[in-house]
Amino acid sequence: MSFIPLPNWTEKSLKPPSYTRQADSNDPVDFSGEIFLIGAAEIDCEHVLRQIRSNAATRTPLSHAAAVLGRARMEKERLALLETLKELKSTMRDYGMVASRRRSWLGRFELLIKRGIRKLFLRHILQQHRVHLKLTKFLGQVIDYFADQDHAFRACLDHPEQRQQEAVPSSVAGAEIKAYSSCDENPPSNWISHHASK
Amino acid sequence: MEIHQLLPGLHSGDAISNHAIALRNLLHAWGHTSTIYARDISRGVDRECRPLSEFVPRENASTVYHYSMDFDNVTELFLRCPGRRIFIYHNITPHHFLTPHNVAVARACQNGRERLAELQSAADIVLGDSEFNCRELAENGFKNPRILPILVNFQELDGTAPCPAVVQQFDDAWTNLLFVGRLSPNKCQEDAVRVFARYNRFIERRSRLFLVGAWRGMESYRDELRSIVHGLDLDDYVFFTGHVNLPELVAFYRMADLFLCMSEHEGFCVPIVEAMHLDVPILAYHAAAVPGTLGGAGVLATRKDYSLIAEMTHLLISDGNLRDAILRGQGQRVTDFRPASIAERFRSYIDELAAA
Repeated sequence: MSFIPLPNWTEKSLKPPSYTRQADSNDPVDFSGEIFLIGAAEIDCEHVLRQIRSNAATRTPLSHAAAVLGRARMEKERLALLETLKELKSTMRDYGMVASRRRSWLGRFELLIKRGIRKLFLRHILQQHRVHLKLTKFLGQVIDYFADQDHAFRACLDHPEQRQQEAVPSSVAGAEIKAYSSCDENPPSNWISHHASK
Repeated sequence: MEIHQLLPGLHSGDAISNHAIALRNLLHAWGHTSTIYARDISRGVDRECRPLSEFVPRENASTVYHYSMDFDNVTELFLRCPGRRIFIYHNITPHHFLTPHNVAVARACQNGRERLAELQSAADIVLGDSEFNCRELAENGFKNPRILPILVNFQELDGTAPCPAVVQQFDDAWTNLLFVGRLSPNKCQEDAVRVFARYNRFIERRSRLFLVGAWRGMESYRDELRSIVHGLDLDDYVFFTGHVNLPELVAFYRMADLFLCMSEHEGFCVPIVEAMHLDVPILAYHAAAVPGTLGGAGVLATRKDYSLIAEMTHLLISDGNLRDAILRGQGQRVTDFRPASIAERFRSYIDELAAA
């Protein structure tokens, strides 16, 4: 495995650069070993490769960040609450229609009575509406408050971890490269077989 | 001069749609009459165009056809246009990527590729977004295909304040990896997740992956991605944002420590240009038009070795010298995509059309 320094791209051109070995873009890329093309001539690619190897050799699985545990679940629940609140708001003004099924003068009379009753209760209905508005506003505020609290709580949990991380450089931990093989999904043995399986 | 544009669809936040709108604005600025006609129109951009049914081919009008898949009536309309024609090829996603998730779109893409050769002599001027697209056009018998990169509105990106809600939620000491693009199997978001899984599990737990992009029509692929994320125990670290507006997009770019692109098929890849412009280092898979758009900047991975790509991700984020060198390269490369120079190029094609 080796690196290919890219050509000097400062030449102003919209044409792609002439990489040392340009593969046919329609085919799966096979550079037979070269894995990274670094777009910076001043970078020592061999040094970068060595660094990657030495870093890889020291990796061990890390424990979860405390600040993130349960975030997705909480977010899902928060979205469900917001959805319920939205439904509640959409039904707030729905007091039903004043209608009559009768068609004759009796129907018109029934409608008149019903409208009269509705008017009579309008004040009460408006008051109810105001209460509902305040209630939904309150529920919205509660949801926002819990979201903020969740955010603040996670920041509190994250703070000591950050301090600890700043104190201990990550590259100090020792382990062998085989630690990678314990990852949940093993990388494909080669890219082509992985590609073909799609 | 009267120059109209035909598109299969005009959608908010879509690169081809934005390109068509930008070209229309240029044509207006140069004193031409120009209207966009689209088959499917999303809400939010409906004022920018007219339905395809209103398009009437006229002798004295030129037509620009943005080709990215084949919908019979659009192609037929273009072929019926008696005036001069410009064909812009945005490339077509290979249908095998899409077949398991959206048969209709896969069929449109397959038809698009099959009909490409038919269109070889249909236009007076043939354009492609990238060298990669032009190469495909040449392979399909098109004569003299030329490059017209997609216009990216840098001014709009610079002038938009990042969404405060997004910034408040995510702008902290955590490492943010970003990929921007609709959820689609050809963009291989699952590989970005797998790279991130190694980065997150072995290198930096305090990290997130943002997959920014809509999934309309690709719900089954989104579910597949979610199950991969769940299987890797990354639910709390990976964010599917869905469609975002411009302030949100700018916020994600501003907070990103690295742009990670594992896409296997791109006709141009606008997000790469945006990332270069907004100083986000890019680590991308060497495929399709991506190397051409990067033009020697950024870092390309030639194999999908997730572990090594994760290590390179770590270096690009933590090694100041490497990061600065990459950013310098990207900063210089992005000047090639200045709207003014692309507009100049487009103007020369229009002049050529007028003189023909």
